[in-house]
Amino acid sequence: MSDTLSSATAPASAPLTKWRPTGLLFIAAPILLIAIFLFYPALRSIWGTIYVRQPDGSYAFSIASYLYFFSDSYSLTNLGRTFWTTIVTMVLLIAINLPIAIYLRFSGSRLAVFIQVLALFPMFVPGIVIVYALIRYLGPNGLLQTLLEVVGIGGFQSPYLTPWGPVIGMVWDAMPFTLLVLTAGMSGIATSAIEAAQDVGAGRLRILFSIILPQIKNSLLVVTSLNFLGLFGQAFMPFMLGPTSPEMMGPFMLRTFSTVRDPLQAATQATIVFALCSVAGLAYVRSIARRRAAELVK
Amino acid sequence: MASLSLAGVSKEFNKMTAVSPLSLDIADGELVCLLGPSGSGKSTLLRMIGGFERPSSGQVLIAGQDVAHTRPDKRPTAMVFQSHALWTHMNVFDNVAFGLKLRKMSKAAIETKVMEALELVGLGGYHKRMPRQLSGGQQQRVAIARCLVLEPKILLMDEPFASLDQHLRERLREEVRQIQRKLKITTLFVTHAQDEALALADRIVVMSMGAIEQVGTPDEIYANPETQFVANFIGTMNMIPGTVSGGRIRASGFDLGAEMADGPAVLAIRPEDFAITETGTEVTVKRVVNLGPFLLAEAEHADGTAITVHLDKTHPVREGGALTLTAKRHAVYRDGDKPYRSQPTA
Repeated sequence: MSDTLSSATAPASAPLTKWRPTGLLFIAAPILLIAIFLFYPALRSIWGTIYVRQPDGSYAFSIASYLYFFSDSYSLTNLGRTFWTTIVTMVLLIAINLPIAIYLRFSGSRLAVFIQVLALFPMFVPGIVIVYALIRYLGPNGLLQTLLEVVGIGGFQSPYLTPWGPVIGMVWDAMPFTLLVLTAGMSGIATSAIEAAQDVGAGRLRILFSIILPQIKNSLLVVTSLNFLGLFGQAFMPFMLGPTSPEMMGPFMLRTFSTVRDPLQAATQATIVFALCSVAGLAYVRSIARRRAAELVK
Repeated sequence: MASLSLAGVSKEFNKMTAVSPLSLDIADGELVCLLGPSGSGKSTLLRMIGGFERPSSGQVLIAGQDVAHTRPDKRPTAMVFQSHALWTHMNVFDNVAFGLKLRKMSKAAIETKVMEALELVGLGGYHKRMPRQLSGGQQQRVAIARCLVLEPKILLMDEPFASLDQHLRERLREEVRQIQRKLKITTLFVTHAQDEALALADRIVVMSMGAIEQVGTPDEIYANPETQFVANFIGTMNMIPGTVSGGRIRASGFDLGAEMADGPAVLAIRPEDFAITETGTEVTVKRVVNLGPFLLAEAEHADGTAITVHLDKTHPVREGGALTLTAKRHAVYRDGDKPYRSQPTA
């Protein structure tokens, strides 16, 4: 009887272990496209920054463009400005969105729904519209200045074309994504976990720092690393809203490439930005891997 | 430990009554189960005792002191939640020690108390594990240890075993009973599982639609349900609609005593209270299930009424065959009237 059963079940389990190329074929086309249009040009560009054409037409290894970047005070100032803008924007994004995410998680009111819609609204507005809306509102002689002067408040300093211009624009732009990730993280915290903390004597701040923040650590890491990637390489918002000197790496690369017409230096700048962003990318990948490992242990 | 009294406690959510004004006294060291179906208000009542909901009216008296409007951490209570509610980023030790750390106890005292609490719930040596490395039953033990370590006067348990399998539930409820007896801690245990309540409680409070239906020992509740709801909810009961006339109820071929006013009523007979006799009500057996110690026969009267009967395994019974039944013991219920109960026949 058992023999009959074994032989009867054997063919059913066989296809599960048999290697089939269908899955690989399914993803072959997109992977090929990514390789041809993304990885190859990127690697070629990076390679081109260290294997450089010499004046005599020959090619040789050289790190001269990197040496130039790290010895040029203007390039370093721009890099510093990029770090400053990115970090200030990220801090503001967390500071603005974390309280909203906490409120949305623990409030069931209609106001919470309204606030969520309001916070996600920028997602549906194209960047160019946001930029011009901010210029018209925050710029010199803009609506905000006019309104302040109407109520007797003078001396308004417009953030437009100052380091704060891109910060405001990028906060607006990245807010929906940040809120979505934090809200998703907050939804993983059970109400009973909060109540259990209250029950043993934890106050609001203690619950925030000892229960909520550690439990959304992964979401915070995802938001921080992905926002860093997006903000550090931003070109549009800093170009439209920021100062021209010093400037963020995005517009700096654009200008080096198209105005200064120095593709080698632009590629070097891009490679440096890529290397710095890779650190954030690694943090993101590590957080995903740790979560997967934790799920496997479970 | 402490006694607990509820005096006219009620709760309304957006003008919807979740708990109607009710009063209840629980003695020091007693284990009381709040039993009822979903939406009966038992968890809301427990949450009001724990301080997670504010009563709309009434008093919650713990050792004579009204704590109805006191924060959860300022009450001498501790709650075990249905979903364990462990803090997943902390290991077992830190979960249990969290409340003690907030009380600014010394490290040595915390360690001693945590280890004692973990030993008490059978988790000695598990203090370094993360919650995800524990089974559901172990997680619930940690939640119990987290409460016990704070030495509350009253332990509140909100369906603590609801997410566990039957075998584990039975084991854990015995362990909870042992711990409760050892510590003599006043305990309120919410459950919708009648077997859990019957096995665990000193007294059971049966709730329905935000009101108390009956309070009594498990034996009293099972043997003498005071309302139609309790009769139907606790154990298996054949509820047969009939009519009372001249001190007797006639329902699906049964003609039994019922000292109550004439009119429609419900005849209630437990499956084990039937006797197989030569004369009586004839029913047709539709299905026979072997439940181990006895047989369960699902039968049907000619008028279509379904009747469940427990039979001795030696009794010859087959599907499609006939049984002639009489009731050794019965009760008659009618809304608004005191139920009638027969004396069991020998």
